[in-house]
Amino acid sequence: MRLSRMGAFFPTRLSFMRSLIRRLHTERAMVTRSVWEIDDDGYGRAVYSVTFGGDVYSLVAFSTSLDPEQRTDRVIAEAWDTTYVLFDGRPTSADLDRLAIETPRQEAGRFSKTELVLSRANKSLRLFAHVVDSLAVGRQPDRSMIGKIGYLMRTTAVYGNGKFGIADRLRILERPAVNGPFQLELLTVWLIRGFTHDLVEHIAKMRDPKRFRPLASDIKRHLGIGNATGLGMAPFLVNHPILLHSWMLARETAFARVRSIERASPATIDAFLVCLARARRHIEDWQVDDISQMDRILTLRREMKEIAGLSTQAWLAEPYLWDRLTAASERWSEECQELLLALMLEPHGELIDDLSSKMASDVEPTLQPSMSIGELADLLDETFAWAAAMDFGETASTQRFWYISEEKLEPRLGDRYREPGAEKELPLDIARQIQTLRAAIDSEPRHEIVAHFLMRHPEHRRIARRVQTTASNPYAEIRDNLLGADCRPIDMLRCKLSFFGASKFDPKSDLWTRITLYQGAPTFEQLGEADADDWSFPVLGDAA
Amino acid sequence: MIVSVNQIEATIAKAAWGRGWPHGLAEECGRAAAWLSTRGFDGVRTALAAIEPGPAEPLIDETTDAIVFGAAQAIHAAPSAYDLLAADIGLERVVLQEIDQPLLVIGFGGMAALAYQSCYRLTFAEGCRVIVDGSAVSIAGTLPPSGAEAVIEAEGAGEEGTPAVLTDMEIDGSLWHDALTMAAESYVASSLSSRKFGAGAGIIDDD
Repeated sequence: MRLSRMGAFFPTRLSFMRSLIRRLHTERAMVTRSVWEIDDDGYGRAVYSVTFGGDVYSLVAFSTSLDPEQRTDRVIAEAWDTTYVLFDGRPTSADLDRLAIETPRQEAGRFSKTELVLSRANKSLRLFAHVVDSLAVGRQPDRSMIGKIGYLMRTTAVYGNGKFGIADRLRILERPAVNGPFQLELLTVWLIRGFTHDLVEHIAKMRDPKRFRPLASDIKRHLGIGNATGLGMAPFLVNHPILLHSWMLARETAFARVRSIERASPATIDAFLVCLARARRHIEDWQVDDISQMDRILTLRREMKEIAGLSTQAWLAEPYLWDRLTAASERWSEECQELLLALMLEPHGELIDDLSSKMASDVEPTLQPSMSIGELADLLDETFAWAAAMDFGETASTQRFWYISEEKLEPRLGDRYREPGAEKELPLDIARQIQTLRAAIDSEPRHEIVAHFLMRHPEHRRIARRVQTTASNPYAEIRDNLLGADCRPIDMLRCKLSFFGASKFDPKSDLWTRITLYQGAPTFEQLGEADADDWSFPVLGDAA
Repeated sequence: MIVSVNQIEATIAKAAWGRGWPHGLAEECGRAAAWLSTRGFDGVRTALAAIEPGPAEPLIDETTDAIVFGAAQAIHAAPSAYDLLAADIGLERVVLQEIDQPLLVIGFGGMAALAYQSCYRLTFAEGCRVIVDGSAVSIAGTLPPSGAEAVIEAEGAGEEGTPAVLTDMEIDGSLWHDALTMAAESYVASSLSSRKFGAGAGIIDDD
């Protein structure tokens, strides 16, 4: 698995947001708003509850005034427009009073096991103000602006699994509805999105109740929730190799199943073509400032025309359509190949949706202490040859180091040869560690066991148990140099975010991107509609 | 104050790494501390005490049927002891002399029992006997203080073990402050330059 490929991923129907919405729809989940104590300016608190898998989850939202000078998407922020917790059950008024103090403090707050997720979001000032202004005078907001920005607020962090004292993941391990990857975090984000819709309408209505008009339903549906994501996601992928393997394996298995279909049914072909056409419009709407990404988008637009040209009735009717399409895509960019993969999976829900339930893994790397040094050497030589082939001799190949800053523990990248702190770098240099381990065991007797070697060389313990565990998991390792001057961390971000279901990747640098979540997804009111799963590559049509 | 299992694991691992312990041992120390804490022991205090001096050169004596760790630092000696017993190489026992933190050896035993689906018996020279598997620990007698000697033996196949017992783990505020302070040794000081360029994003987002 290479970074350039990962950096071209698109969301698929296996993405976690898609599977969450499918299950919410299947369960006929209903969201209720039990508390709405928001003043005319939009400040106050609200509670939304949803019953899912037999348990009740409540989003507790706080909206406060924020000095513009404090509005940053970075982890280093100390204040936000809105802050949230996902509460396990229905909060009492005492809980709400406690959370009103702690939630706006975010990382500095004190939480308990009833708080499952902690999050915050800032307004997209441009769009939020425009939508309020429009609705307050009875107009719908500018559709091109909605299409270009796509969200009213951006979340800047969504914390789960015991962070800052909230509930550990262990608490929900026995709850099948939410124990898949990031399900509670993404449920929280979907509820936040609904809150932003309500908030913007409330402020507009309070400004001029007589002239006010609510958001048109198609505009509302097209308003997702933004997210700003930085380096923190990259170490996560490296530090959870088996989980990454599980995600990739599900995706590749789904792809293989589809490619092996001999006769594509007319219904799936039609659904594919509809989705292709929609994706073309979606990509036409996708505009970013980043020159490199915009070049890729322009190439993708050209290549999508070629796909459409290829898709004649005669060509589509031949056997093994999906496999032939995959073979044809080899001449196009990785971005195009990955988009095609997503489009080919789209009409095959019955064939592949079961894989969604196989994407969780709590497996921790475990040492195999009785393995001989000879076996370990063979394993490294045969399975990890990609790591041995990397050259770390050049300065540029070790230019960067990953670290945690003391400033609010923000993950950062440094220049090893110009900045202090490299002695505290995070151990993300997997290939280099493998090389070091291989060199260290070279002088050991082949019959020696790993346990004995590590007793005297504990500095290799982490990488030894990692290679022993990941050797049989071919998608576990990113086979690139994460220290190199030319490494693009944003490729890892895009990979992980695509599994979440994010779209409209909008890089702000090689280390940082904005994205849109849940654009086109059903709103609270639309969850029960028949097409609740048909929201890939959303586009906003013209006004009716 | 209340802390989560995740916080204990992560904070103790960072503290150990910050003090110079290798990453692999540091991570396992975090898990051992959490395992102890979720079973009602003061895992954080014993882990911090073991971490604090940093790693020393191990003293290891090997005979045909036993391996002896002298001046045993639990963070290093305990994982190796359990590895060696799990390796099924005919080794009957591992002896840890002058153990710095006996309780932490039990924590590592809990983690090893989970990983290797085994069960271990620890016999302390002072008469205390401990049986540890992945889910629980039984202690007969009084656990000795630092400086004790223990013989660790495999006690046969253990049960699979259960995940940590969920509790609101109450931690002494000043102790947790010490943990955070030690963990901070793994962080890099912030500078104007790293603040501006290290995350690849601007400081203000007002659009």
